[in-house]
Amino acid sequence: MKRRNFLVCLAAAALALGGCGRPAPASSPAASGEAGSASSAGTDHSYPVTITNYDYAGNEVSYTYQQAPRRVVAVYQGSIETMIALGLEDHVVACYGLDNPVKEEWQTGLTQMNYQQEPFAPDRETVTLLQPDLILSWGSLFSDKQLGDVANWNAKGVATYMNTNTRPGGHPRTLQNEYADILNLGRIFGVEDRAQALVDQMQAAVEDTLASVEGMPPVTAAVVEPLSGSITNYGASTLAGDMVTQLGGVLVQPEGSEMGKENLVTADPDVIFVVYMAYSGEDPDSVIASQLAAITQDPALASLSAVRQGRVYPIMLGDVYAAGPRVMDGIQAIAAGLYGDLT
Amino acid sequence: MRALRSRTGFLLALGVLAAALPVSLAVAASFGTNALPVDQVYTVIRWELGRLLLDQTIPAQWAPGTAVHDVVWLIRLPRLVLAATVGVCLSLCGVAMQAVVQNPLADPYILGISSGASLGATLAVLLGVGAALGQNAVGVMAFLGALAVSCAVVFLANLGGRASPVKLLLAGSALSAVCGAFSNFVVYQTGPDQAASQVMRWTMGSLAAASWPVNGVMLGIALLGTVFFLSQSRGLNLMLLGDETARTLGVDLHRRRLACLAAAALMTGFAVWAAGIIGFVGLVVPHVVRMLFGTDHRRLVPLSALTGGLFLLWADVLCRVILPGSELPVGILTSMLGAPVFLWLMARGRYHFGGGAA
Amino acid sequence: MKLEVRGLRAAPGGQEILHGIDLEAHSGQMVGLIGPNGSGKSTLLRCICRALQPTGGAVLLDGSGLEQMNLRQSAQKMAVVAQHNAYAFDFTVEELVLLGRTPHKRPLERDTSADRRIAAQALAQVGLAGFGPRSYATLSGGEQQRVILARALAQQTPCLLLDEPTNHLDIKYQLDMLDLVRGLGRTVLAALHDLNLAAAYCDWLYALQDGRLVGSGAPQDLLTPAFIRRVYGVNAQVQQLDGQLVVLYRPARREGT
Repeated sequence: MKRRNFLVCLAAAALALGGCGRPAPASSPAASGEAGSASSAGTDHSYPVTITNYDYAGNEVSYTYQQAPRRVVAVYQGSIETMIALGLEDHVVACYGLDNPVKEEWQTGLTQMNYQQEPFAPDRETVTLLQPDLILSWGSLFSDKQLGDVANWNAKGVATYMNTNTRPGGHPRTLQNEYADILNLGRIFGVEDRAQALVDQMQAAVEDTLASVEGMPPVTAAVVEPLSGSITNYGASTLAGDMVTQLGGVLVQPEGSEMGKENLVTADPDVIFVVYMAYSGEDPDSVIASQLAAITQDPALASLSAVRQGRVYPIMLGDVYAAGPRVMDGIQAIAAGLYGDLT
Repeated sequence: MRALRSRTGFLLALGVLAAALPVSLAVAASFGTNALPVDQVYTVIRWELGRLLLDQTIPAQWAPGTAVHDVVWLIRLPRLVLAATVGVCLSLCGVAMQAVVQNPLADPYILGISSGASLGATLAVLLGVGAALGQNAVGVMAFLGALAVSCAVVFLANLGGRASPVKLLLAGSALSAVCGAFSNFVVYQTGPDQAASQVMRWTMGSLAAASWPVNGVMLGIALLGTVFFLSQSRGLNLMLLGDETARTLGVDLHRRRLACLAAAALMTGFAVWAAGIIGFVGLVVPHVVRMLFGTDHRRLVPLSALTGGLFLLWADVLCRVILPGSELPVGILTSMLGAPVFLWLMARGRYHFGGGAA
Repeated sequence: MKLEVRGLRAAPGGQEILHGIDLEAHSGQMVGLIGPNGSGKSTLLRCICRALQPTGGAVLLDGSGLEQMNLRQSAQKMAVVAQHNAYAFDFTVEELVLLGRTPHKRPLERDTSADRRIAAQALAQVGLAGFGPRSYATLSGGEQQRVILARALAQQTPCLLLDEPTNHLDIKYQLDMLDLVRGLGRTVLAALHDLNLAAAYCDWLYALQDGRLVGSGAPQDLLTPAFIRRVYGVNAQVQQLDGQLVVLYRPARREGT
């Protein structure tokens, strides 16, 4: 608790120093649910559409689309897969940055999007030469060191959209943000119904799960990622943590970025999700095995009931981190981990 | 070697380096991550210069907003100019710091400037401190951190008597350790995000954020700094002889030392603001110039300024060319290039860094 | 130029080392400062040349107090050859000697050809003509010492302070240097540890012991075996050889046998 107090103090001091009235980062989930709301009324395809997104400093930025973008540069897994899931392949001039192959059903779509193996992420010069009208990516790409300033692009008539759960500045990562992003892109491209259908599916998966476990005692869980000797904790303000919470689970350590082994043993969660990330060139199976082993084979953690009862599950980082359409996979994986096969 | 140290040698070198700078800018503008036809590159430059100097109108085909124009004029050239100005600032500050603390191992960051800047950047990136400062909040916070630490170092070194070079060095390394610990603490507490790697990438230094407004500031700083240190060259020479000798030659170094320190801190702070922390330039360039042209600051100051600018400019070009498709952080390259050159010159043996025990 | 020291006290590092020193050197006189190691010779010289702030007393140049002059003014009257002259950076000989012109320069003034000529002359005077472009760090200790003397000469002051100027020199250069200094006709105050050199070159000697003046006089009057035993704690014979005073030391061991 001391640690949290310290951070809150620092954040307060920061705001006081900055002298700005920005809401504190740790605002309620309801407030962050408004992230990226569209201000254009109606669901018909009438443009202009004004969408609120963010810049590299995490500030809100509004951009008005006069028409559906036709020359999209999409960078990183989630951006590419979202475009395919919304059936917008032909709006993309180039895409970059796949750590993992796209899912089976999206393979055909990818072939229509001019995927570039190299570089992993393009620089400002390369993007300028592509003459895009929308850059769809993660927050970190919009650093002035990489792609440059959102304001510069927007001033040149190039829209930018970052996944809300990659907005810099320590904002909570939520399921709601992922839904909002899909719906926003639906509006930007005039495909609201496809977007709504995707989000409906996801929400239905959550609601169905909750309905079928109603009355059961809540399952306790931890989402962890063993990383070079220490164990990273995915708390309540991460997307993975939010998925657990939204699905009725209880995080044993909602705060803090690190999970001490002692804490883990003391909290003894019913289920442990082990996050894994197979970067390009790595064999997913061996990555999963070594990540799981870091929990299940550690003598210090042998007493955990999740370990003894075999309730330690791998979960792919891409499904629970700025996941885009893979949110569905994340929800399913976490629901299955928490409650087993409910059907 | 001796010929270079003559007056004509110096003037010749000054002329060659001064001419090499604009030529390098023009040549380097044709290098990039994408191959652009050279004639297109020069057409853009030609029209922009025409607009700036002769008030010509740029034909629509090359006007702002076209991809080639934007790449050449808004991406490549600003970056080259930034590299040159940052190189000038860092090597001048290296010259000044080495004299101020009378230590050949000093570099612009020696008095805790880099760790102060890192702490500022860390607070900005991870805790959003100073977000109200605008787009380059990280850079501004780094600048403020650098200045705050330099002031603190000078204050501490002046406690209990006048600041001597040794006290400055000790205060600098103590404050560096404190700032480093605080940065690490914040990074550690803030946890798994890209933020930590963002901080790291930031501290490694990059010239990719260049823009004309930033360059305007940096050009001014580099010019003012060069003029200032030129005016201080006799004082800098005397600093190398030590305080007592300087007094017997009629000069009290205390004030001058503080003035040089303040100027160097300010210049380094601005360099950090624009490009993060780029190592080795400020250490190596002054030594290389000294090896070739001697220790006299009346020569060392202008030659180091030009050499530093050219060095960083070409180092940055190499960064973009060396690995196709991706970019090496320039700080890594300056160290990889600078260190061997430095060692080679040292091994040739004519140069005596300190003491001259030979 | 007349140099006077009145009741000078100094406490570098808090502990008083000079307990009130009075001495004077008349215009054109060569005055020697003798005394064992740690007697305060260097501290006294550092106070006079303003490298060290005295805690009491005064230093007067032609009757006007040093504290009424700024550093530049006093540096135009008084040049110093100090003991330790190793620098962390490598200058050429000419650059170092030219720095001796500093007190005659306005803040942003450049060195002129006149300055260069003065520097070259100073180098020639110390027997280092043509050494200008050489690197100071590569010179022998004796050559370095002479470069520093050349810098002091280039300062063109009526008064010269020397702190053990012959320390690193071969005997030939010891004699050359003191001949040179003696022949300048300037007011010279020199700390010397070699009593024979002091006797041969100085018009007047002051002897220091534990920060106090313990004697002064012309060499032939001051340097008696009794005085040497009292101040240095050694037995010595003093003889006149061809009109020159010679001090012969006797090893302490042999004394008892």
